[in-house]
Amino acid sequence: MTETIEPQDKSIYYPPGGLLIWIIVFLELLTFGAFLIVFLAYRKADLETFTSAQQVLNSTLGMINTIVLLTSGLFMAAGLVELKKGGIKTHMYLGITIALGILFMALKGYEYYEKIELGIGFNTNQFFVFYWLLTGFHLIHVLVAVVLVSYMLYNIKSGSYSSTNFEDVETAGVFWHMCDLIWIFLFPIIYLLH
Amino acid sequence: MAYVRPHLDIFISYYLLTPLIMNKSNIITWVGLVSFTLLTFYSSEALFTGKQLALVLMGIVVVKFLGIGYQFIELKRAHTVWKVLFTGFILVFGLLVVVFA
Repeated sequence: MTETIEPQDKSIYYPPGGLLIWIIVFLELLTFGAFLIVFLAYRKADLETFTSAQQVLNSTLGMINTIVLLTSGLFMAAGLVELKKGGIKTHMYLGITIALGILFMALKGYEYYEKIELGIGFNTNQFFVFYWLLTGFHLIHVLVAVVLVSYMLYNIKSGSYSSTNFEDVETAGVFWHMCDLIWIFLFPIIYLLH
Repeated sequence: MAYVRPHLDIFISYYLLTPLIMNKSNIITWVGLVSFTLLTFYSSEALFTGKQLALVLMGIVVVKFLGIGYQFIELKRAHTVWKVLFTGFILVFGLLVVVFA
């Protein structure tokens, strides 16, 4: 397989997807990271409450959602490779990416429904304040990523992007992968650490 | 039937098999990421607790984070500064999680 190597690849001013998206990526990573460190500090102060509250979480569903998101990342990366080499499978790959993003949101919705059915809300205890905020903000990011990639797919179909003009799609791809990256550390810390 | 069979072949090859024919290193990375996800899950279920578990979980998180960054986002082709910032972030964050856990 031949892959396109862009001349600006090694430029400090042009990381994959462009400089601006990487500023956003680092700001997001730092925000979620700081939030999780605060979560751990609160957890240390009230370990019993946090441990018992964590038992209510559906970690199997969380693991399935992790695999769904990782698979969507694979198809996003494959879609971009296809676009860069002018392949015909870009539409299919990005379509699968979007479908997996929607599946992630649906599973997350079911998880939230389970909690609400149990009477667990925002003010149940300190653990669930963090749970709703962190997973909720992440879910909003996934929603934005789905809208962004759908818009890119629409524009690819209408011929606005091609193998020589793919920077915006690459930027959207970085945003999509950022959702993966955040979930990668959010899931084990909230659902699994005990 | 003579008309159906060729169409069925096209359907199977295009919609079911072509998703598998993609960048081999991306597929290998994905298999690794899913395997590490399963390992994360079972480590927390049975093997470890407390600080030990935090160390194992964050060790796996670092590997997965770098796998997505370098392979899927193609950071491997970026300037060294971006690689250092990206790798530095997850190493420092992982360390902080272990300390605070």
